[in-house]
Amino acid sequence: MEKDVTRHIEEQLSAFLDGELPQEELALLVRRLERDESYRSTLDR
Amino acid sequence: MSDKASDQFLVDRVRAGDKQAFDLLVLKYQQRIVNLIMRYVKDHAEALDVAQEAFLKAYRAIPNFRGDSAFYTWMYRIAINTAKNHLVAARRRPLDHASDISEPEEFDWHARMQDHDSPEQQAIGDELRETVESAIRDLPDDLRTAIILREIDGLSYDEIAQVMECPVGTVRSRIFRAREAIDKRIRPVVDGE
Repeated sequence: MEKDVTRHIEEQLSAFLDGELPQEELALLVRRLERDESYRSTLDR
Repeated sequence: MSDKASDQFLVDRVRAGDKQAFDLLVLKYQQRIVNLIMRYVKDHAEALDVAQEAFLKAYRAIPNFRGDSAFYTWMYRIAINTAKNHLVAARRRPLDHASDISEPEEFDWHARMQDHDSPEQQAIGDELRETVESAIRDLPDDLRTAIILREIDGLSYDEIAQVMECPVGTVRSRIFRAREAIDKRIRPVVDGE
């Protein structure tokens, strides 16, 4: 389950770096990064 | 969502107090900024420090960012000024004082013209290129097609979805998995193992 979440975040970050993440998803990503430590640790990798 | 729109969205979030939004901007631009700084500061570790200082300055100054220019252009100027100040502080001369790189577009051209690799760097570059090509060849068909359409042909995710007749989410996943597989193959070359 945790692996799936990590994979999902990594895919979102990859799409973001390609400029392909829709604004609503980007907003959600920022919100989750603010609230969720596991999201932040993925970003730090 | 365009680059400028997504950057502006993140800048607005930072102004509203979301620190993590700035982390995304750092993630997006750190490599380009470090490459830029390395035109002034040759040591990689030192360039990383200067880049960190530049991002910190940008973070503090973001309330003053009016959005007249793109975020990257603004960030680029902060990075150049930080690198120059660093050199002055270190009482050293810039590596490249033949021309002053004041615009991002100029830098991209300039960087390509200035890349005179040593034979050793050239060999590593060749090995890296061969490893990437081999890794792409070894990918499953669906991943190989997705990454080639993206990286070689420059298609958007929507366009790739149309070509491959699959949902955009599948494209996203395939591109990520392809990069992950390529990264795994090139990691030993990059790390010099």
